[in-house]
Parts: sequence; structure tokens; C-alpha cells
Amino acid sequence: MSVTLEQISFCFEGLVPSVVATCAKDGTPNASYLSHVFMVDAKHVATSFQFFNKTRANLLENPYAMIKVMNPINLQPYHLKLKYLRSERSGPVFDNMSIKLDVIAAHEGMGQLFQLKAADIYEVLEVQETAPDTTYNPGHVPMDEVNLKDLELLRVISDKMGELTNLEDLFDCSMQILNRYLGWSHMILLLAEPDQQTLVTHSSFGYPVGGVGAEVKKGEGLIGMCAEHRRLLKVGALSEGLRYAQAAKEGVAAKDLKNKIALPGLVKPASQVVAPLLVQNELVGVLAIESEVQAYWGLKAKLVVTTVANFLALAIRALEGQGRVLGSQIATELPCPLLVSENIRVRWVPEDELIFLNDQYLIKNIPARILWYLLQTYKNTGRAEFSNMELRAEKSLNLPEIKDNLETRLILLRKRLEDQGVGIRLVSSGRGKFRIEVCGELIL
Amino acid sequence: MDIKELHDLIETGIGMVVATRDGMLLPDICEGYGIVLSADAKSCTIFISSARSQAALKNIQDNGRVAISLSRPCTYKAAQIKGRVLKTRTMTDSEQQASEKWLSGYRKEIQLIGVMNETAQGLLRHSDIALDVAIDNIFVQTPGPEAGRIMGTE
Repeated sequence: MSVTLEQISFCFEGLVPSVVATCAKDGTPNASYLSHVFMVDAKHVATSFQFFNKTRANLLENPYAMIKVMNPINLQPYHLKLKYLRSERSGPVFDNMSIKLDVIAAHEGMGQLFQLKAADIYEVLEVQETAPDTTYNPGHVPMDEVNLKDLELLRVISDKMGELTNLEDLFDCSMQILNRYLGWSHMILLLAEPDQQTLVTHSSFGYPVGGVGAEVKKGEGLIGMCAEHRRLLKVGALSEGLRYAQAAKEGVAAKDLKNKIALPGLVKPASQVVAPLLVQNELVGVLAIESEVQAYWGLKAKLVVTTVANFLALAIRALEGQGRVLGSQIATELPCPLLVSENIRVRWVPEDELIFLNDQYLIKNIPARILWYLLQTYKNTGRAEFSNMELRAEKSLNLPEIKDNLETRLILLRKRLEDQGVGIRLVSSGRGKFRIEVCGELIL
Repeated sequence: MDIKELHDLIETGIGMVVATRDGMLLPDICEGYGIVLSADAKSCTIFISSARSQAALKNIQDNGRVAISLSRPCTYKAAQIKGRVLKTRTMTDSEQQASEKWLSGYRKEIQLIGVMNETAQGLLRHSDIALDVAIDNIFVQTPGPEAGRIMGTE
């Protein structure tokens, strides 16, 4: 075939509906619109079998079909000459398709209607290219083609990330690196809690509000589904409301905003991709990327996102193991955000393990226990220097014996304190050590 | 869906494709650039491009069988016309205008599903051929319980 499926992978984003034509044994043609055509590999595509319809009846009689897909940027049509091979009711193609439909079904509340019966697999006999249907020629095709010149770029990214020597820098600077080299404009990095049931935002890029500490439950929205299925999920053509940030915000509003932090997110995202961070099949976190413009996450971009996510996961685990936590830049003296004479009212809610500073929700669970311990010690003894080792040995903190994620919790706590800006901060004072600085009168 | 609703659907700037098949029952797809439906929905005229529909024209010459899928992109409201091409001819001036009107509506429709304004405005109309079609059946194709039902039947 003159054009390969890889070259037109951006046509399988679902932005422009595709069309399938089949023919009955009696010679009657049939044309039907499809919401999605999935690219399986270089020589195969798949469509979803959800309902028994004329297309399916025809395929069982006569396996030949033609599918028209379109470049979503310039509407250039490509006609795929196909032969229906089989229907798969399990396996990776079925699973991928099923997850995608689950995302839509979860959003639309139409689980039964969208239930996947099978993935219909076709062999691609030929790809016919037709001239574009529009005079508009942006001079480029998908975003991965624009920004990813070659593998050298990935090497540069891995070099730059590899130079980061502590977790905090990794969380923050990696976002800047990805923005600079790949042009990703809006990103959220979430880490999995040890119970693997909740993800917590540790860093974000491109949003007016950082949202550090915002939580997403496993299975909730696109991020939660990515965590649950441990697969890259992408939505290239967002229907109204299929927006994880929006959904999460609504969920928060419906509960109790006082004790929650809103997940950052674009008001009108046009495309989103979320990738799991995995090490040895364990979920480390999720990287979510979204865009205000239609972004076409083709095959190449998916490979880049997966590679970046894998690298981030390994880097996080490596730096955690070395106890390198707080960024070097915060070891320098910073001006106090508040006058010393101001009061800092700290309210600890033991039954819910929540901490409020000046009546504003700060953080919960283990980071809240840690802060309460630090502030009590500071207030009662005047001691401001602490070590990670000491915290691990402190029984009142009740840290998990295995994988306590202490380092990432300290970063989270430090960032929340910085966001709140009420005069308490954590400052690195050497490897595995830090001190608490309080600029005001503590009222516990 | 009834005849009136089908006429209304056609007025919205629908997406349109035409399926044909060859003597070996191999299907083909070509783009449609507008449709004029008779008041009783017994016949229609559709517009295609001779340059971009060579396989379809060959198939039509061979057996005349066509399936015309009409779908509103932003709602997925859809219908399919099945019939036989009675005549293949050059478009008239008034049909050129009808095709131009269709394009204008289609441009608006596809922007509603996220196609960029520049792309939509740059859309070209390649139509030069009119196909007069005798309609055998019209099927409701909107996803849902009515999908696949012949229009006008309960």
C-alpha cells in the first residue's frame, strides 16, 4: 500500500466520524457512520461491535468492507479496503476498546448501551489516499509530528530529567522540560497512595491554581480509570462534559469544598491523554496532559507519552530510594511571607486527621499527622530541625512499615504550606534533614 | 422519523456518503455534496464528484445500486436511503446552487463537533455529477431503539 496506517494514525482519533460500507449477499450496499475506528497494528484495524446491525449482518455474509477515515485537520479522506477476519471477545484489543467505551459510558451514564460485545478485526488490504477536501493547509499534521523531530529529542528529555537530583525538582522541573521540548502546555502529575486506591496531585503545569494535594479516586474520571486499568487513555475529540477536571470539580462541589482541594483543569479542554506511571507493574502515579486546542494524539505521541511516563516512574522510585527530597533552591533563605507578630491558628481534627490553618483547609491524613507532630514539637521544645529518620521512628505518626512514601508526603506538605502562604514552611537542611520555619505566633 | 423529519434533517447540513459495490460485491465509498429529496421521498437527486468518485461511477454503471447515508454530525441523527440510480448526468445551475447551500450548512455543522474554523471554511465543493435515484427504502440510522427500522413503519 502506498500510504501506511502509521502515517495516518491521527485519523483514528475519532474527531471526525468515520464511515463503513459493506455489501449484502444480494448485492445491496450499506453505508453506516462509526464513532470510532481503532488502529490495531500496521496491517489491521478494528471496529466495536455493540449492536447487531446491517453492517454486521453483511460482514458475516460477505467479509469485504471499505472504511473512510479523515485527517481531522484538513479533512483529507483515506479509504481503507478491508477484509473482516474475526471478532475478539477478550484480549488486548478488546480490552483497549472496552476501556475507551467505558470512559464514554461512565460519562453518559449509559453503561449497558455502550457495552462492548466484541472487537471486529479487519485486515487492511489497501489504503487509498484522496486529495484534501479543504484549501486550509496548516503546513503540519498532528502535534506529535510538529514537536517530536526524532528520537534525539527523547534522549535530550531523559538527559535533562536525569540531571535532577531530588524528588521535588523532578516533580516540578520535569513539567517545564516536557513543556519546553514537547510543547505540552497543561499537565498534572499525581502519585498513588500506598493503598493504590487514591491518587494525589503532586505537581501541575500551566494552570492558574496548582491544585497540589487534590485527590482522585481510582476509577473516577479519565485519571482514575487510567489508574484502575493501568493503561494510557486518550480522548482526542472531547464530547461535552468528558472532562476529568470538570467532573472532579463537580464531585468536589457536591461534597464538601471546605475539606478538599480542587483538581486543576482547563475549563474547555479539547483533548486529554493520561498515562500510568508504572514500575514493576506497580502503579506509581499518573501523568495527565490536556490541551485547549484539538491535539491529535497519534501513535508517535502515544509512544512518547508512554516513554516519558515510564522514565518519570523510574526516576521517582530511584530518588525516593536515595532519600533525596526537597529541592536545593528552597534551602536558601526566603523572606517571611507574614509579619512575625501575626497569629497562625492551627486546628487539628483528629477524628478526620485534617489540619486547618487560619480556618483554611490545608491537608489530611499522614501529611497532616506529620505537620501536627512538627508543630507540637516546635511549640513545646523550640526545636526546628528534624530528620526523615526521626519521623520514621516516631510511633505517633503511624507511618506504614513498607513504602511509607515519606519523602513525597513531605514535598506535598511543603507545597501545600507554600500555597497557603500563612507563615509556616519546610526548608531542606541537608540530605534527609529539614527544618520548620514559623513566621508568626503559633496557636495550636 | 417520518418524511418531514427527513426533509428537516437534510436542511441541517448533514454529512453525506454514498456506498456502491462492484460486480464482485466489493463495496466502495464516495462523498456526497448535497441531496434534493422529492416531497413524497420516492426519489432523490444526489451530487458527487466525477474526479473523486471514479470507482463509484463505474459501479453505478455496472449495477446502479446505491446506499446514501445522511448523518447530522453533532447529533448523530441519521438516515440511510437505498435505491437504484436511474440516470447519471451533469448538474444543472440550480443543482449547483443547491449543492453550494448544502456546503454552507455542512461547514457550520462540522465546526460544532470541533473541526477548526479554517478547515471548515476552506472546504471545497467538488460536485459536478447529479445522480437521479429511485428510492427503494429509507432506514432510520440514528443510534437507539429505532436504528435499522424502515422509515414510516412502527
